[in-house]
Amino acid sequence: MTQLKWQEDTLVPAIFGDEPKMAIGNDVDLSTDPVGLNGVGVVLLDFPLYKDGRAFSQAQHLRHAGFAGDIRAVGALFHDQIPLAIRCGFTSFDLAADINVDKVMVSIQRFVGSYQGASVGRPLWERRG
Amino acid sequence: MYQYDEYDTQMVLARVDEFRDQVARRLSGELSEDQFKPLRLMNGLYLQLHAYMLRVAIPYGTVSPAQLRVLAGIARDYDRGYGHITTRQNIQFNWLKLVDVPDILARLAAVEMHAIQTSGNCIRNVTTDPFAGATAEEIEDPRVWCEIIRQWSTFHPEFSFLPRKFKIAVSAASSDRAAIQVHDIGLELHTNDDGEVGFRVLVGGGLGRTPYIGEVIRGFLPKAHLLSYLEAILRVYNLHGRRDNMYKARIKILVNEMGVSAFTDAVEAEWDRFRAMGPGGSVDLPAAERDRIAAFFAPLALPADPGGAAVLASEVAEDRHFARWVESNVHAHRRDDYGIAQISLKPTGEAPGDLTDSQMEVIADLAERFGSGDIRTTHEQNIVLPHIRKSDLYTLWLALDSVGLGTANGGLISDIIACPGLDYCNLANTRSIPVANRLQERFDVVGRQEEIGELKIKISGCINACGHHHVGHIGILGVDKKGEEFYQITLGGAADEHAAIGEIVGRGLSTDKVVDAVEKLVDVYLGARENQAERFIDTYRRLGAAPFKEALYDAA
Repeated sequence: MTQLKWQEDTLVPAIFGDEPKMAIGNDVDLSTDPVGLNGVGVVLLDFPLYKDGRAFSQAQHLRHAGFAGDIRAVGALFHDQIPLAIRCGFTSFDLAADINVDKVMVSIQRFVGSYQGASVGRPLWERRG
Repeated sequence: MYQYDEYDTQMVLARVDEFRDQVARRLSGELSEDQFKPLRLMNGLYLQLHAYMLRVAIPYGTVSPAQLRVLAGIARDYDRGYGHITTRQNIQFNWLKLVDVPDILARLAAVEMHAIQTSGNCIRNVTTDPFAGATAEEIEDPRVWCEIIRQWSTFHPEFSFLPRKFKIAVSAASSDRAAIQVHDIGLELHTNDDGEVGFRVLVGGGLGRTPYIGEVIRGFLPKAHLLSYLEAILRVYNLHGRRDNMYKARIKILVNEMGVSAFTDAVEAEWDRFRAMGPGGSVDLPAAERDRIAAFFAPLALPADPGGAAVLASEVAEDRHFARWVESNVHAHRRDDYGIAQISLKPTGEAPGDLTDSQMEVIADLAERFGSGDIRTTHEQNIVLPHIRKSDLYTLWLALDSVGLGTANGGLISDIIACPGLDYCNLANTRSIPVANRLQERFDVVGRQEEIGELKIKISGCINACGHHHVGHIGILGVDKKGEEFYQITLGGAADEHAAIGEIVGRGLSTDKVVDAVEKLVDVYLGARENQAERFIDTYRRLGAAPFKEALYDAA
């Protein structure tokens, strides 16, 4: 079990409190079935299996729609998926696996940029002169 | 071709470093094979029957002489001296040790190559016409858009854990040599009534267990919006594609279950939202970045070859072996004084698509000497040198022929696509390569193949259809019945602009009957065709399956 927060471009260990949360099942298409998020500070998105990447799209949708609260990944994400999740807009992690924070930071910092823009990070072409 | 800048280089070097770390974690036992599996798959590394197999990306089939020499070195130093061209225009090495793979990736990175996304449930290597930039048929070079798609899809944070693998192909010519109608997304560049160039977008084609021809979901997409439209399709697929059954997880099943109209509406609604984000938020590239990439694919300045056609004509008249090769393996170039040369990787008795380290080096040398350094791999598992002066064709062919690369069978019955089959693959039910070889032997009679004309045979060793049997004029599917190999024949498939899924003609045939069966089908065709210009597939379309079925089953 690992609880982590992404803040100020750093992944840090966390202990989650009892702030108001809303869990959204990963079979919900937020485009066609919008969820009211007024007053919600934390949205929980589920990864029942590491292979099940639906919540990546849900997080991107929420960020594009302007949700500014905490988006938490819950479930089966593993080490090497966390950098992708951060780029999709996840800001905290409540995961089943034991995860070494320092090693994940190495993974995050390994790539200096990404080809495509996403919820977090600008696309590489903007740096090309 | 595209040249890496510092950012592209950093990307592949970081990937090598990352994979080196992942392999170290596996070898130390920190990662179990189960945990390592998704990591190695995202890097094209499979555990096969005998060893690890590494699939190296050849983006849209374009490879330089320097890159091909590095591939030759890898074949020699880490494999058994050969590589295998795949139906996604990639190259596979079948006999690697895990501990060597990080060093292999470092060698590849030094020449701007990698194995990123050549497997796994992500967007795979985008494929295109091997004649791109050389054929007079095309509107513009489709590789510009392939490179734009390559960059957009590489390490895409949202689309790296899709329901299933995802394949995109692009064509810009009237003849489809990229099989775009049997891809998850097929993109066809064309000109609309207003004279603008844009994409026709097809979705939901595919082979495998449940073959489908793709459906057009948008007749005309302005080029500037390609990436946002792809992003919308992938978003709908990622959210709604089935994850309960891996055999029903491809986008073709989703399109079929939702219905084309509902699927299209969902994509268009998502696309409207992306476009509303404007230039700052959308993933669409600005014109300057599109132009930067397009400049790498500007038409080559090819020196004129006055008198080349006359030289070629006299050499053809003097050497009938060369004449056969020109007839089957040289295609029209956009310039009258040039030809597009196809190098057959289907000589009788070899695994289709295989080539040795020294053959790779010969091709690299010849491409530099005669072909402006331009080399392509094809989805039909051959190699193309797209720009050869007509007066150089004979010297080129002599050099190729001296190393076993001069086979004159382009598009003919022995130019067979075959999956690796049970000789390598742990999914296969039956062998494929030996069937291909026996067919080649049967028809290896001077003049026979030319008499038969264009006939595409495609062989898969199991229902996953990696050998594309559904779209063979004659398709052969290996099935296992109580431990015995049987082969089911399909007829009438095609992967070109008249794409069709072949029809199963009857019960499976035992391994000793399958070659005879193909010969019977050929005999029916030869007896029934109206003239020599009518190809096997044309006769089949005119007469239907009945006379062919009759020859296979009634007489027996």
